[in-house]
Amino acid sequence: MLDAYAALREPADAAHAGWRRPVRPRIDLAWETSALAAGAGRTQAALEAETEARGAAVDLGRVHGYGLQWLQPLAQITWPDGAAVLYGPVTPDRVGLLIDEATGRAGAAAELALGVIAGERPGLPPIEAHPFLACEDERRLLARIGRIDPESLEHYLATGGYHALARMVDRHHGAEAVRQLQGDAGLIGRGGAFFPAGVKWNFLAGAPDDERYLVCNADEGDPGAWVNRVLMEGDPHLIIEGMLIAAYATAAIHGFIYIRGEYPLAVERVREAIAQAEQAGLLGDNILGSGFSCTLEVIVGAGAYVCGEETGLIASIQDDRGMPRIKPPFPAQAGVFYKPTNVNNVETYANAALVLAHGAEWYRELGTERNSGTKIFSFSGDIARTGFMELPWGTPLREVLTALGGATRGSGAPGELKAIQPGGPLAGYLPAAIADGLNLEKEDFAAHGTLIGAGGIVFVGEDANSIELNVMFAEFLEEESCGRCTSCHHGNQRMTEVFKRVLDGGGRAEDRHNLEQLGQALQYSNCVHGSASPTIMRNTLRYFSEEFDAHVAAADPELRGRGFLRFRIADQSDPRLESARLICPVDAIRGSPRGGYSLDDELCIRCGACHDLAPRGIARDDLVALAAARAVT
Amino acid sequence: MPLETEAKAAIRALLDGLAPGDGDLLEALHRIHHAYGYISREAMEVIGEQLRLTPAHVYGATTYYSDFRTTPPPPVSLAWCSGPACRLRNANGIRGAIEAVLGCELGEDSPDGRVAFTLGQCVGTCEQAPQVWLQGRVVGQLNAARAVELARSLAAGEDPELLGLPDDGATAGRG
Repeated sequence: MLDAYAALREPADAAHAGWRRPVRPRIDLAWETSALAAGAGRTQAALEAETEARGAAVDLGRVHGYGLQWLQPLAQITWPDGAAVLYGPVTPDRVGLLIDEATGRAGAAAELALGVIAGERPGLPPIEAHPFLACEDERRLLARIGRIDPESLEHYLATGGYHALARMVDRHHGAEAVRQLQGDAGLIGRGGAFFPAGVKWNFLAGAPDDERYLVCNADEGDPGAWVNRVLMEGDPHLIIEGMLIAAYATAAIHGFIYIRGEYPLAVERVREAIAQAEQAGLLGDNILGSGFSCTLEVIVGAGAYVCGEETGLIASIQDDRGMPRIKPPFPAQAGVFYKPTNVNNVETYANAALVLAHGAEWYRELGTERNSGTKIFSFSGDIARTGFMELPWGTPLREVLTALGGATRGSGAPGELKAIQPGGPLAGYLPAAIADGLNLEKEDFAAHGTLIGAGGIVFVGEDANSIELNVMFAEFLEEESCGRCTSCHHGNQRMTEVFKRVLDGGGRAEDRHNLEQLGQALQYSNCVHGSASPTIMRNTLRYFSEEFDAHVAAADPELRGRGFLRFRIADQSDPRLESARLICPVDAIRGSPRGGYSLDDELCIRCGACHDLAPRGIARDDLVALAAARAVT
Repeated sequence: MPLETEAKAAIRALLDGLAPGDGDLLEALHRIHHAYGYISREAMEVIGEQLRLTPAHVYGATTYYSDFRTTPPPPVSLAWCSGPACRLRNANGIRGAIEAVLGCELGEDSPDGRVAFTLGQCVGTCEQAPQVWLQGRVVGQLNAARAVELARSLAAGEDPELLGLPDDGATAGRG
């Protein structure tokens, strides 16, 4: 079997060596969801046109972006001497600079240079020295990001990929030893529930039925989390190898990778990787001639948040509506097609491959005593730098915020942090004063009544309204409830109604009590979607109590449910009032430059378009803040 | 058994290789949706026959998932990102502005049948917040005023492929 692996490895090594030290300079454009959102398609077209027009001696290729998403579109140049540098943002108008730089005019793209990815370039620091990456230690899960073409099996092989699999099927490891190793490493599930992976695998291995399945949960639905997406788009073979290791350790015969429908590129890359692995004899029947067989397939979701819950996901795979059901039976007893099944998150399988490749001791070198290893996090919201990074468990959140360039206001200007919202809509949020002292570890978050979840953390700046945020999450939870439990689907409707009413100026003294009662009812829902849905409400009442009370106190029938936000003409001398009048989608602004302007509050829908164009002429008032200010004076 | 219509035969051809009891329903729905842009009543019947599920079962699954339409889609799709990073940047105002210009609520088609205005979920391109997807392409770093302009251009029948492009495109390839 190792011979079969060596036969694959030899041409792969040659191909990757040629990629790392190309005959002529190569520009690799980041080609993934975040790059495409920033217009990488147009940059690509411009690069192609410009290289052709000049007859430039450069080649074009692709990588996955390094994580500095606010600088997308990202690109790398690799020179024949093996040096590689990361640049961004490479907008279409800047491709000429990059081609200049690649073809020998050193320094042409200096303003776009972010750091050296490989080798050395005089005057340029290594990428690890970039302030955004200050909290990172060794990149393990992200080791191949920027260092391979994510669509190349050869590159994966040449960077050590599938070696652990080959060694394993060569009987250097027994199935039980493989499971034990995951336990020794302390690998815990990365989907948010933190269940020890080795224990879960033991459940499946001990199941009475021979027809066993694996499921990879790639239905990454928490708004603000894109950890799994990065792995699937950046290193898809790592997930396949992890699943094959799990299959071997549990004698599973087939695996389903359930990817949310919103990730078409991840679907494409994982499907292509499966086809490549099958073609190479690394997946399917008789893997590497060892007699071990396992097949994999991708299932594409279609927009249902609760399919991220394992029983909902299983229902969705087997032709039913993706509605969670009561446990037990647990998936290891009755999963897909009622056969024993093991469900793990994408990142859990990826970690399992690392554990087998490098050993439990190596794995535990990073992280904390309680939580070993690293975790990919995605950071967004009111911060200067949006992106993803891989951090050892236990990294201080305060240092992370510094790496992210600090908190911002709604306008993007520097500001104060108000709160953090980790782990999706079910996980709640915490005020800045508490967040400041947290380490990125589940225990720290749980101690304050919130969850660290699957790795998405949204930073909330000082301009945000916590009641508005609560309405947003309550609406999400209501909309995404599967409807099985009355407590959940009606409970979340009531929760939404109450918070909306409070936000719209109709708050009542009894609302706090009623919300607490609702929380009691919600927690008796069957699955975590219902039972955890009151978390955000509890956090609001606990940590943003004054803000809630201020909204209730400012309630006024005169507002007629139209809320506390008001736009008014504040300065008739602002010449931009005419453009404000023209932009108003409901013609609420009347008048002329000569006769002055008026704003009809009855018509106004509070969209803020006029304020965008004439921030001096149009004032935006928050009546709650005004009432609170009056009460003080 | 009614005669097989041409439409049904075309649908059946798309379902080639899908079998009962194999977990193929989502795949069947995706194939039909990809080809037609919606799941018709006829398609639900054919899928049911192919996978040995009742039409009611197929209808239940189709309408459970928010990605599937049951009516023909308008030529233009505009999806509003509902994610938290966008909300912190006045996404609610952007939504209201688009609704006012198009004359429909989120989740509806515009009255002229030209634009489908749908709810989109966060995919982690939050550096573009607040954003919408126009024909699946991200139009980012919006504000309410730009959203009004975008929606007005769509309502006026302008080509969506040419809308919402960043200014830097003008000098493409001439750096």
